[in-house]
Amino acid sequence: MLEDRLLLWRFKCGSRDAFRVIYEKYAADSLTLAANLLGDSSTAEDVVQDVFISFAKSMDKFHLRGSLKGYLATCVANRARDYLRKKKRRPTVSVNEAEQMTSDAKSPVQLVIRTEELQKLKHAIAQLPYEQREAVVLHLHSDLRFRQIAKLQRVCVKTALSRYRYGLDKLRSMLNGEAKR
Amino acid sequence: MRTADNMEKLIKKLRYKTSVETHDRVLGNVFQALDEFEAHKPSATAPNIGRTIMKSSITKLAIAAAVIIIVVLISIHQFAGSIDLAAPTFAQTIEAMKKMPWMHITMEFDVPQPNKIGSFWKCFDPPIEASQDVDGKTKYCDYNKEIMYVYNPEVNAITIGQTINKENLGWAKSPFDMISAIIDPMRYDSKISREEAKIDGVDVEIMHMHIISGGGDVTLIRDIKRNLLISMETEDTLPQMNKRITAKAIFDYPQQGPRNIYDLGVPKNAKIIDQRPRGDLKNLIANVQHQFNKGYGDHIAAVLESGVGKNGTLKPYFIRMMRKYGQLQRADTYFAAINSGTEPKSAVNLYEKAKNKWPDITWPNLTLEQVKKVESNEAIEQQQIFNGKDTTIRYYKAGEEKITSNRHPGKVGFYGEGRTMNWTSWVDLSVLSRGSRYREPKLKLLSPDPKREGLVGLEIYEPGIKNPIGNKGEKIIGATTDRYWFDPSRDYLLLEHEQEMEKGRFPSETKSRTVTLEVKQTSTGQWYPSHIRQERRFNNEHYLGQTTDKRIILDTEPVFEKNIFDPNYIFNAK
Repeated sequence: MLEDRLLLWRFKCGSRDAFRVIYEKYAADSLTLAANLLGDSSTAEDVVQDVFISFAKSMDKFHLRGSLKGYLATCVANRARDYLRKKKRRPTVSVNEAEQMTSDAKSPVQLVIRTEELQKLKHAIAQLPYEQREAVVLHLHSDLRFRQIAKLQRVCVKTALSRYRYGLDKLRSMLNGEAKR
Repeated sequence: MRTADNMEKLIKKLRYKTSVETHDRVLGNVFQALDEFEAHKPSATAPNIGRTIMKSSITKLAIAAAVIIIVVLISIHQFAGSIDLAAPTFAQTIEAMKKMPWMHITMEFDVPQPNKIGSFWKCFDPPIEASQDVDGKTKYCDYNKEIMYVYNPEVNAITIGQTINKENLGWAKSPFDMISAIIDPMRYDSKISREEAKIDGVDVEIMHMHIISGGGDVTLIRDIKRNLLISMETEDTLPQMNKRITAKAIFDYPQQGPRNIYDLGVPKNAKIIDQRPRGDLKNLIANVQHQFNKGYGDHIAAVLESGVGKNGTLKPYFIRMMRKYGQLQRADTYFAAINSGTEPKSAVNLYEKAKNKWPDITWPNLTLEQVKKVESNEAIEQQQIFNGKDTTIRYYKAGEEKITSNRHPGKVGFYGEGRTMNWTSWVDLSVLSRGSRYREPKLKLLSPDPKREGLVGLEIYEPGIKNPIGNKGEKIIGATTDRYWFDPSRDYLLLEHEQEMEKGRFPSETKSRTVTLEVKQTSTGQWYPSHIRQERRFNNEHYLGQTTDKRIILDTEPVFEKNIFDPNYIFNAK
């Protein structure tokens, strides 16, 4: 938290290196969030790039009130929603993306099993209604609280929490072979 | 398949992994967009309160030193001085910190990865300092008892040594003084800005200094309500290492600190090695330090400094004047070189002035009265005047060919040869107590030397400082061996000094030998060196060495002109 504020301050004073540190610190999380929301790594990179460009351009007037991680996650989520709204696309998952997913498997066999599980999970997430997917990913990946998710989605906290729980239930059902609507 | 409890864990494991190429491409696109944005946006008011004051040739070293100092708390001699604070706010902060019973500092580097270096504790009353590194090396100093304990985990041993009571020191009494001494040179070459903010619910002031000439940044964060420093961070690229380095110090203020070295986790079964100087070594150190601290009282000294040519000819370099009256003090260095190709063209040359007045004089045969009669502020290369309240420092600014002036609270920079006679005649052995874990000095008496009959020799070995980051085989500061020979029959004057410094980043390998060729006595019977010759040899492709000659005239019954310690005093005004 303190480090982020120092980095922001330095960037405001002209240090590109400070911005580089911010990017290196949060780029991976941002890309993961965007890829999970959009189901497309290439689009995710574009979204993250846009977010950091806007962030850099707004630095003169920027004033951090919460956590920088939360702020960037919110920006990514907003940008991803805008992108989907414009494209009116259902997010898809390319087969090759499974190879890009990190895994903590300790052996080749475990790697294959884990990769397959993650791929199924990825497909399952992409099947969720967008609001549920957004609630799940923002809470579990970006550590946003339900109050923050509610504000982002412009709903009450209860609704945000419900979307999260319904999303998890649906994922469990899909992965356990039970189709639910 | 997957149970309910594991679903959240599994989702958290879904990480998107990007290639380095993608990373670089995206970041490159961001910076390119930012460049285009900045090129087209209307010029905005800079967020900083920019204030460039003067350029310091030592700024780059100051930044590098600041990085090192924050981490290892090394005394860098160039920046030592009495308390000298950058701004009233900072001054009050330091005073507030001193009122806290204890202070604890955690230090870390940030390159190539976060790397905690160690912790440091300080108690002001009684004066106690303790430090501990991540490798377990621990130091505990009780300055009232003048005793220092150093624990080495590699051999599970505590070495007991002597330290000097820092209250007797004339400078750098604490890390705060060192921090202040670091900050102060930098602020003259930096853009300073301040902002108030709230961090974790605490109202803070963030003071940022961006160093102009060499780059680098220093950020200080202060708790406004308690007026205490929370953190200090420096960032710079050290060209020799070609790395961006961030060094950070975080401050907190516990009610109680370690009562002894064992409170820091040192095992009770550690072997004890008592290396406190005893007998002759202890007596020598005490006698030399006593003479250094005593000094010459009120005095005026002139030093005529020459370069020695290959055929032994003396070429004038500088004329230095040192004056002391009670606590009032001033040190003036005047240009004296003529047609050397190095002296500034527009600066007044004091030797030339003397030659114009007395055509028959030859160098270095000027008297004290002759120097006093031609002194002029227009000839200064460097000047410090302490009027009892603050110090005015003036430099001849090369390139701009003008003299710049700045004022500091307190007494600043009266340190080293050419500024005080104490340093010309003796050695301040209290530096030994300011060592960090990397520079624990080893002292020993030298065997009697028939070539140096009557003299007592002391050897001080300080090991080199290894690079704490990056290439760990590299040394930042090379090991230093100093050999001193003192004359007990003449007030323990330093008559000979040899130094060998092995290669490191700061500086390159050097050897030097300083010999006092002639001594004299003052009217009050005190001994002082009247003729000194110094040779220095560098292992450096750019600069091989130099030989310097110094003739010293000392008057310990001086008559001072009225207001001569006033920074506005004009010499020989009519």
